[in-house]
Amino acid sequence: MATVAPSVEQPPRAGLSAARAPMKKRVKRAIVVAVLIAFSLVFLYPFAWLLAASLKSRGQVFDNSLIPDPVMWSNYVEIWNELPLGHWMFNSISIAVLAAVLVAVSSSLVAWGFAHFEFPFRNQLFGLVLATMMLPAAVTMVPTFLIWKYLGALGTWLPLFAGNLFGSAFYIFLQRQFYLGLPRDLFEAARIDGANHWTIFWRMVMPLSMPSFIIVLLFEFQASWNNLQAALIYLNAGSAQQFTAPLGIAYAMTKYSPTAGGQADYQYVMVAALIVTLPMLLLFSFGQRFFIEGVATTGRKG
Amino acid sequence: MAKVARSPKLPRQRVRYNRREALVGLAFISPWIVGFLVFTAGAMIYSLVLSFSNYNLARNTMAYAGWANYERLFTDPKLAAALSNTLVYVILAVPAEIVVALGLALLLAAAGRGAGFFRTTFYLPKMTPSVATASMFLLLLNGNTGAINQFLGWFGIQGPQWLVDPAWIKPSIVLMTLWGVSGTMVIFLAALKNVPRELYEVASLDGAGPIRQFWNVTLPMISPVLFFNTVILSIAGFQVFDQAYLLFWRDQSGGAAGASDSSLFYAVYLFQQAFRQFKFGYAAAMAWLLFCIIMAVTAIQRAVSKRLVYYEGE
Amino acid sequence: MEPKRRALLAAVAAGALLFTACAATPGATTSGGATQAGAGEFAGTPSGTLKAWGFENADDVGQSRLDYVAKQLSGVTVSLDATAFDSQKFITRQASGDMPDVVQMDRALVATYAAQGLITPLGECFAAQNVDPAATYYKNVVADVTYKGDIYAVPQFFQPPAIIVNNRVAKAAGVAPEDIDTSNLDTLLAAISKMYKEKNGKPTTLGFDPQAHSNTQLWMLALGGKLTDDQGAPTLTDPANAAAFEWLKKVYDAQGGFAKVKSFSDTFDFFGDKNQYVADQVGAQMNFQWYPNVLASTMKKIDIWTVPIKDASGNTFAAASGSAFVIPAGAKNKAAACAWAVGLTSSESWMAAAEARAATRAKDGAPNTGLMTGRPDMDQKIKTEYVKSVGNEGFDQTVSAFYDVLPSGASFGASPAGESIKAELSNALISFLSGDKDANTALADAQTAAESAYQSVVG
Repeated sequence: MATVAPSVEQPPRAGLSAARAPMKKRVKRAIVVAVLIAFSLVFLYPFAWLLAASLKSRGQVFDNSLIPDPVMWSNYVEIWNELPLGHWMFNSISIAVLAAVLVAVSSSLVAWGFAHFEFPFRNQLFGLVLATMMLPAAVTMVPTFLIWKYLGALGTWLPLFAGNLFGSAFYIFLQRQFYLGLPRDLFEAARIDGANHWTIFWRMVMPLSMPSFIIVLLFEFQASWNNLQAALIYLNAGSAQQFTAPLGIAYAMTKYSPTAGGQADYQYVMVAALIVTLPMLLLFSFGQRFFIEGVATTGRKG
Repeated sequence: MAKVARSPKLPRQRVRYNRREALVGLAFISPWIVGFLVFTAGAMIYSLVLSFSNYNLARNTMAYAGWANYERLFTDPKLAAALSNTLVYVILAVPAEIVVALGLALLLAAAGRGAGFFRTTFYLPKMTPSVATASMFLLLLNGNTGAINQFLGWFGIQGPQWLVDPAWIKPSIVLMTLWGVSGTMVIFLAALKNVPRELYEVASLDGAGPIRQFWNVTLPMISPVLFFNTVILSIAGFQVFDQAYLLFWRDQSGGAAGASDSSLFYAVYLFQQAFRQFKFGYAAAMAWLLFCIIMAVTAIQRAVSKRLVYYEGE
Repeated sequence: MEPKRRALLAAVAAGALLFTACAATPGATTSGGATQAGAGEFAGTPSGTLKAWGFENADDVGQSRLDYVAKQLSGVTVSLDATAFDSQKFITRQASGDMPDVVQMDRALVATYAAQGLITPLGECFAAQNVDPAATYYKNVVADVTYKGDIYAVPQFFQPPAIIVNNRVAKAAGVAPEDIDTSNLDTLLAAISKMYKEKNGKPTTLGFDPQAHSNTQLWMLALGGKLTDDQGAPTLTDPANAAAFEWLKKVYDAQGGFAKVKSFSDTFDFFGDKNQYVADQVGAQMNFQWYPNVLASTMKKIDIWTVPIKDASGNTFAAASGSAFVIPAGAKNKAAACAWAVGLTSSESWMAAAEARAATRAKDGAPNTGLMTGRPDMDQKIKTEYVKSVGNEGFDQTVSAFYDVLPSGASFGASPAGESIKAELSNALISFLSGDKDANTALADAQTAAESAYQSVVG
């Protein structure tokens, strides 16, 4: 975890044998690559299909052709009149940024408390942190709704991110794991030099833990971006302009579902699905190594 | 998860605490303490109280209901349907995810240079929001014209009516889940890289072929991760919501989207009871049942794993 | 120590801050009881501010009526929340005492809220406005919103269903429109078989698409089923319902079975240039009165003829849901709410709407298929004034055929478990048609769920 860097590109390991002829090895490698290419096509096909479908006319969305004819660029223009997609994206981005920053900062604070300080029942409390990861969200779903209702926050964004002010078990675990790998002497020395705990955390710990901090930010941004259920509970009652992107897609699917009296404009749903996916793909292209390393780490340390 | 619970192994100093240090430490963790008291412990107690009451949201009143909500759990045919669908889904999805993820990870590990490209490719679906996945697969899985059945048709296979035939609804959602299996794959890949090479060399000298190497070296060495993934995927599987909701239950009055009991999953039914019917008490009781089931399944998985999982240094 | 402590405190207090900030506006609770509306509540000149909720994406018809009633109630300031009805929002607003004065909702929900005392009976309201509901609206429409003898809503729209036959497909198969006769199953099945076509095991032309999974209640009643008793309690295990299920299964099985029909009909370009009548994907299909408006744009490419849905004894049958205006028990300006809701369904308001619709259709160069308002007098008046022949015999016949079924309207019944019955019945039908459950089990399970919903409302 100390180095967050892609480290997958390494020589093959399985079936490495000095006794085998290089020719045989090359054939084997070629087979592996061929299979991987086949799988890649399977994994990538839906994206190509989605892109094509988003450019088709209403009657052709179901035809599975990867080359739309005619190419309906107008779908991308009309969708802004059809659906308040701009609002959805703005709402989702705002909420995701708030959620990510809040949870990253608060979880870091808590993680540092657990990693660096000695206090009574520390290990028991940390055990409790880990135990909460096991709790199905369903158990607290209704009471949480009633708490927000009591606080008068229904219909606002607060329930979608404000809970992040208190840290999240998974990220606390992740950050603490990172902090434990930092040299303790460094902070002892800073203490002796007169730095206070806040300064140490803010000026030393945070910069040092940037890689894992970014992992938390990215993970939570993605989680928030995907969060359909919370939006259904807290925002569904509002106007369509207050929806988040996932709720918006759900709304579009209903709106255009012919059996629900909607127009079967699936091409608009596909445009919306594509537009909602793009920020995630963009995020991944910038933060790929953080995502992969983050996932790998949580699995490995688990 | 078993390992997770064991990990807080810090140098244990049972000496006196430095009072100031301790206070600062507590101050650092105080956001979590507040959050825990309100949104976890408080909410759990509230949930327990709710489960023994009938909450009338319109009047903001709560009447004691005794065990009625829990009794209803055993007589509600829809709950039985939702539970059995969810169980079937977990039983189908978890092994499928493990096999596909591990298979892809083995392939990537064997690919050498270029593996990074494929890993990125496989990871893209994981980045796709579930709403987008669901809306796409709604069309891809159409029984008559969907691309998936068209593909099967090339091999002379008459594909099923994925989203309509009750027997194929669960496999449809498994398919969607498998498309985003790369998170699990990356965890396996990391585990595979941690298997000491010497072990393979020794096995190879002993004349073990790739298959025996996999069973005798790879599998035991990655068994903790295998166990971890199984637990995590099972817990997630029991709470599957987005795809089922979007494909079948998005229309609030139900029905129009083509929903029936065979597409009702536990989390969806719980959500409906809570936020469409406003039966908070019953929803709370349902949540506790789910909690108990997940705990029981995890406990069973732990018990099994004790025999099968190999932990280094134990 | 000092600055550090302050900094830490600030960080930690952030959490508490949120609470105090939000706790400053706790939801005030009101009793919200079913206060029986006194005559005085609706009487008097409407004034003040009227908080209304409804008219999401108001179209030409909706907007012209809003404009008309705004002009009439010049002393009232209308504050319109133009979002879709949402039961969660309705109930939480009730709980926090923040109820609008008038709410537009589906008629199926009216009895649910009436049974809970959350909305006001409107007998006095109609009296204050000099409107006799029984003489004004269709009797089935009034029945939709009447619970235990009291009328609880001002209803609007009744757009009945009928069966639009694709003549091109029918003729080619030697089927006459009269053969699509739901009172005679054998004739119907024979017609379906003749018109149905498939390729590689996949349907390419359906014989008759009843759209039953999304209109289950309609088919249950048409086929002699029973949804509720006099109290509105669900009666889904009535044997007639199981018989209706079996009837529908035969219809689907005659054309590839439910799964194939549904997957196929999901791909219809229902609103487009290549709709199922243009593409000859159906021989006949059950549709509601608004659908000819869609078909109008492809009029030259289709050949249609419309026949009514018939019950077992051969009588024309029609049932359709619609919307209505209710006045919540906690409404603060009931006089204005009443005047506004009744005004929106007044004859002048509908004529304004008809005029606006005619203008829209003229602008689009499309034929006017009329407006089905929920009021028999208005429907006929609008028909006489605005519905003209378009010179396409089949299309003209279709428009008038929908008018012909209007007097045969039946109510789905006002039940406190209305939404639940609708959803459970549809689920049950799908479970049955897809082979998951037999008819009796499916209906028994639906009954259990609907009964529970009923009990939780009235119990």
